[in-house]
Amino acid sequence: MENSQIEILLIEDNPSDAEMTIRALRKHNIANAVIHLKDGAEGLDFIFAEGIFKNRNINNKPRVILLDLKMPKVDGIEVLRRVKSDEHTKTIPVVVLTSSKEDPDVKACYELGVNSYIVKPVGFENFSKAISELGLYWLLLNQVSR
Amino acid sequence: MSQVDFQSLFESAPGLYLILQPDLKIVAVSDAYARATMTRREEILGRGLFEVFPDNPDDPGADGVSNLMTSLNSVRANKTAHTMAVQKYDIRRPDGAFEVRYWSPMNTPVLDEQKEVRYIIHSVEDVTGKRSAEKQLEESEKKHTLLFNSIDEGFCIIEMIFDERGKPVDYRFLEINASFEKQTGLRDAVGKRMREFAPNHEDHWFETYGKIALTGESIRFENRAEQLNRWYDVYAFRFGNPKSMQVAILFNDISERRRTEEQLKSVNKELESFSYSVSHDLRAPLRAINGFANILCEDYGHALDAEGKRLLRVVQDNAGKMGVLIDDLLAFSRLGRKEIQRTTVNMKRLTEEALEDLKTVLGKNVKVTIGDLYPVQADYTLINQVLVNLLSNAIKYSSKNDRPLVEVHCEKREEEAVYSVKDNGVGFDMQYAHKLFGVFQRLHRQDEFEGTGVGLAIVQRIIHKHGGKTWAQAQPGKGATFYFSLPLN
Repeated sequence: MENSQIEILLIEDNPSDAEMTIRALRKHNIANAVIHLKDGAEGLDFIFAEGIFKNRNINNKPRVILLDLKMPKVDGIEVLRRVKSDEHTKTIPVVVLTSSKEDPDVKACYELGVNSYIVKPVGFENFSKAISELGLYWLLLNQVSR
Repeated sequence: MSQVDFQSLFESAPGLYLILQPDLKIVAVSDAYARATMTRREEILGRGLFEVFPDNPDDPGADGVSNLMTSLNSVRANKTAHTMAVQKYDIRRPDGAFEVRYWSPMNTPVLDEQKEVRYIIHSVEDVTGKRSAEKQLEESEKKHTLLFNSIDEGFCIIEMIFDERGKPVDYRFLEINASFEKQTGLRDAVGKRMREFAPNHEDHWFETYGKIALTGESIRFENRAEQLNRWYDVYAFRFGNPKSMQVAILFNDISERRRTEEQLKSVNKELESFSYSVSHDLRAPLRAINGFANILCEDYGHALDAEGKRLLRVVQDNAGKMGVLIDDLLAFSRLGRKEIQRTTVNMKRLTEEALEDLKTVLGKNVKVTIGDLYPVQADYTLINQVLVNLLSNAIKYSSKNDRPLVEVHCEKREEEAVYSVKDNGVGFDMQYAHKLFGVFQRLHRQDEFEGTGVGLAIVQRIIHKHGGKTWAQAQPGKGATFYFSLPLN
C-alpha cells in the first residue's frame, strides 16, 4: 500500500457521498488507487505522514486530492490551507467537493489556491470535467486491476 | 458789524431747546422743539413746564415728570449741568392722544453775575429712531437665540488653530447652542480647545474644518469621533470674515443609528450563513436518496417489474423536487437581504440573455418576439432573474399549445416603464389572480404543470425592492400576460 502510487486521495466525511463517489470512479476503473479518509484530521495526518500515518512515505504524494468542505473537527478549508502553505505539498492539485456552487466557501477556496470544484454528487461526468480542467487526463485512462 | 439777531438764531437753531426760568416757567423755545412737541410758541411761553408738558394721565408708570423734576432740582441746587438717562416721553398731540418718544435730555444752568441760576437750558436729543432700531435688534437677537437653543442639533462656532507650518491642528469653541452638550458630552466648552477634551481626536476632523476655513467650501459628512465614542452627521461651513478662520458646525449624534445598522448587518450575515448551513445539511440526505435510488435502479433494475421501476422513479422525482425547492427557497430568502445595485440596463439585451439561459427548456417550436424595450435603472442580476422566471413560466404554460408564442413588450409611461410577458398558453382564472405571487401558491396541479410556486414570489419581491409593481391578466385557455413596472427617475 505504501509503495504503490496514490492516485486519488478522497477526504469525505459523509459515508453515502463517499460510497457514491467511489462507485462512480470504480465504474470507470479509476477507483483502484483511491484512498478514502473520513475527516480532515486523518487527511492531514496522511498527507504529512504524521499521527496514525507516521510510517507512511511522505514523498509518495497523491496525484490529486478530492476534498469535501464541510467536515467535523478539521474542515476542508483548514486542510486546504495547510496543504497549500507547505512547500512540499502545495503543488498537489486539489478539487473541492461542495453541495452547491453558490456556496461562498468555494470562492474562499479559490483564493487559497484550489484548482477546481465539483458539485456533489460526484459522478463520472463532473469528475472527468474537473480532472480535464486540471490537465490530469491520464487519470481517466482505464487502469488494469492490480 | 450789525447787531446779531440772537433771538432768530436761537429760534431757528437745529436743536431741541427749551429755556426755563428757575421757577420752571418757559421763557423761550426753539422752532424745532415746538415742532417735535407739536406745540406753538405763543401757546406755551410764560406757562409752567409741567403744565404744558404733563405725564400721560393714562400711563400709571410714567416717570417723565418726576425724573425731570429731580434733574432740574439738582441743577438749581448744584448750579451744574445734569444729563438725564434716556427718558420715555409721551408727547401730547393736539387731538389729545399721546405719542411715544425716547429723549436724551440735558439740563444746563446759565448763571448771572451773582452766580445764581438765571436760566436753565433744557436741551434734548431725540433718540427715538435709534431706540427703535435697538429694540428691533434686541427682538431679532432674542428670536435667533431662541431658535439657536431650541433646535435639537448641536451647533457651534469654532476658530481654527494652525501650527507654524500652516497645518490645522486644533480649534477653539467660540459659541455653542443649548443642544451642544447633549450631542457631544463636552461641558463648558466655550473658550476651550478641542484637544483639551480629546487629545487623540482624529486628524481628519481638523483637516476638514481647516479646509473649510481656508477655502470657504461647505461640507456635509458622517464620521466617527473615537475618543468621544460617537458617530456624527456633520454640516460645516465658513463663518463670517474669511480672515477670521471661523467655521460654523451643525451636527447630529447618529451613534444609535449606526449601531442599529451594524446590528442589522450582522444579523443578516448570521441569517445568510444559517441559510447556507441549513440548505447544505438538507441537501446531503437528498443526494443520498437520489443517488442510491439510481444505484438501485442500475444494479437491481433487472429484478424489478414495471411497477417496481415506477415506484423507484417516484422516489427519485420527489428527491429531485426537494432539491429544486431548497434552491428556490434559498434564493428567495437571500433576495430579502440583497442590496440593489443599480446600473443602466439594456432590457432588450437582458431578455435575449435570459432566453439564452432558457435554451434547453425552449422547445424547437416556441416563437419568441421581443418588442422595443425601454432601458431602465435597475439591478442587472435581479431583473435577469425576473425575466428568466417570467419567460420560463410563459414557455412552460404554453408548451401544450400547437404554436406556442411568447411576446415581450414595453410601454413607457410618465414615471415608469411597464414591461409585459405574454403567452398563448393555458392561462388561468382571474378570480385566483391574487394568489399568483404568493410563496408556494400555484394555480395548477403538479401533474398538469410542475413547479414549486416560488418563481413568481421571487419576481414580486425583486420588483417591489425596485419600487415597482407586479400584476397579471389572463383567461382560461386564452393565455396570460404578466406585467411589471420599474420606476424611471
